[in-house]
Amino acid sequence: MSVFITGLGVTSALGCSYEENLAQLKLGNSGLKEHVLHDSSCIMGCVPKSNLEIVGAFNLSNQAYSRSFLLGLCAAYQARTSVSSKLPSRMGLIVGITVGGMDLTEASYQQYIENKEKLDWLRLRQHPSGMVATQLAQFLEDIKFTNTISTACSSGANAIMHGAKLIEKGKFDCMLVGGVDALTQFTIKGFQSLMLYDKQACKPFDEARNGLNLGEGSAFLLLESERSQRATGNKILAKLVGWANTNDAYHATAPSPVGEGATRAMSAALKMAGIAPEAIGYINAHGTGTLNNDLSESRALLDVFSHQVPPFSSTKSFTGHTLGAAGAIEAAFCVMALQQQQCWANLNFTQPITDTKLTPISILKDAQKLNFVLSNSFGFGGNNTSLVMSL
Amino acid sequence: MMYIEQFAGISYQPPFDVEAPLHRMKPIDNSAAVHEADYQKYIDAQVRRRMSDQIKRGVTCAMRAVEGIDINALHAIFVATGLGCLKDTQQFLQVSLQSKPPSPTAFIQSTHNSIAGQIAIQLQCKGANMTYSQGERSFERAIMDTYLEELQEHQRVLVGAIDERIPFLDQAIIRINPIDQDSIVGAGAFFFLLAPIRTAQSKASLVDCILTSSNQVSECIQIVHRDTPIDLLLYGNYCEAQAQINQNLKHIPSLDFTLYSGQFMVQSAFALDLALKFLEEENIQELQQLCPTIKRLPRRIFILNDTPMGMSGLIVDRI
Repeated sequence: MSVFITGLGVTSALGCSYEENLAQLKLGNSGLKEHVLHDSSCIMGCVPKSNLEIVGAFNLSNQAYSRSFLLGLCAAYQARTSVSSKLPSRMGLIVGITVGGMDLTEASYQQYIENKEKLDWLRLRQHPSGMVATQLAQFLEDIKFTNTISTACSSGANAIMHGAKLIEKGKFDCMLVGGVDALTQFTIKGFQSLMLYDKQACKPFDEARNGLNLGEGSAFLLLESERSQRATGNKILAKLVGWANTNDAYHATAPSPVGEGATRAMSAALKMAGIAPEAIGYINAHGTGTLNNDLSESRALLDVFSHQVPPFSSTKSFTGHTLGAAGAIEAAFCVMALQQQQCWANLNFTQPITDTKLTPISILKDAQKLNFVLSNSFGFGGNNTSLVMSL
Repeated sequence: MMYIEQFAGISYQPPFDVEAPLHRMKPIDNSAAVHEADYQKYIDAQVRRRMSDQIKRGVTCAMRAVEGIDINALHAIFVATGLGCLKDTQQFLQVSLQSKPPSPTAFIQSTHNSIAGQIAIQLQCKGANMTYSQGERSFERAIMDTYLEELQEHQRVLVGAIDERIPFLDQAIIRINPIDQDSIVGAGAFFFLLAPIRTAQSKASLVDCILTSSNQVSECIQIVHRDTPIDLLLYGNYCEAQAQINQNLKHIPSLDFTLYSGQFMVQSAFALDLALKFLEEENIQELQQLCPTIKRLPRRIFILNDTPMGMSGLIVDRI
């Protein structure tokens, strides 16, 4: 059974709409900049809209909202309203997220450390990861089912996969699926403590790569079954034709050095799509810019594509690593690639990794005929997800 | 329909490896502490030293629940958690806000899927690995995903739920949910090995998972009851359940399981573990200690979880 992608919403360091993100991808302009978040000053990918601006734009009541919810709302609302027709009454929502309302939690916890009496405990209600989905469902009104998946950096891709499975099995005709995460001190300090945070802009797949930069954002895809799409007549932007999730069972944070789980995820997603590896015209790689990921992913690419690796890039050089949102934002960029028949650049690349000698696309590339694209999302806990999309 | 072959739980009640577990159960009070299992039997000393308590609990229950099976048949690991690894989260938060150079261990273990990831490593299970975190519905979401899997006869799915209690959570809940002043915060880890077909190892069948957004307890129970009589109702009381049960459903033997588990987001997993213990017990007097109105060994147990998100129900049948 086909799963159609008919709606799309994206919010990232590149902008707060489909059009803004697309324009920056085409121009090759990165959204990564030096910013200060509390006492951390580093290169990150901030969404160019404040919480106040988002609260104002959606006429929300005067209370504290987690930035995760607000970013999610921007993207989910775009995806939901990008289709004009009335949707089936039973629509599900799945959110991929890693740290929930941590931005509010850390502000509250700071108060707690300074003076317990001053702490606004109610803000902690937005801490649980599932709250963003609950809040989005309240705002969007026609959501009848919510779920939240938290598998670190593959959360967004897994949310999409799970939504596609529910449609494929006939449980739902329409799903709003995606991911979200806001920048927090917690995650920035976390990756810094792991020595994985590059002080400069990240250089995915470059021999001189030295880690990642975090970003924030959200993307949501509206998935429809054939039956739903026939009834709504919504324009098909792309189809989701293959997906797979595997586990390395190797290490808590590091990927298998030979990309074993990644190889299996890509191969299984291709098999499900019923296509040979050479049918893939563009790969949006996980490509965090860390020493381990890029080497292991390169080896997996060589393995799956038998040394004939299709054009690939990591758009984290534009957005930063948006954690729970990454898989969803990158799936959205894949839909844009299919729509535009263009492959996005991998910025800051100069020299291939000595071991694997793979060269990503370093400038925007027009595709001859882009029919199938692959998006990789890997995460802590050895979690690997690959999605295959087609025109 | 799925079949439960093996299970293990760690909670405020005696852990999985004791004799006569029902006999040893006691209602909890505020001094309740998790009854830890003998982790050294399951996890290598070097690995164990680095693990948080919560991860030790999860890994141990998972290992116990898959004991003796061919690990190649383990198709997927699905874990539910409402709040993830709170202790590590708080620890890393505290240090990172005070600008001390933090150690990464707490950050690594704070990630929600660190439990499922560690289980995969310890079991060497390379199949699908998911972590669900949808508040009070997290465990039901994990179970529902197993129903989506097209399992071959020999394949198994390990489904579990886990949450922990820290003093800060106690303080927060009292202030966030003023109606819950008397409730005790629960904690624990619970894992179940599910099979798509009935085998000689089947202990019970998980007939269905029902979710509604309403809190009409009696309506929901009557629908289930009409089909096959419910012999025991295990309910988690959030606000409505008890009053409605007292009013309309006195004829069904029932037990508020949260008196034994405390209240927490994945408490229905405790109830499933308890239901399976009820089904394993052949001595009716043991059952009557916990539920005096029960007259015969139950065939069908209905777990009703009344939560702020609405109700969820799990139907468990004797094999």
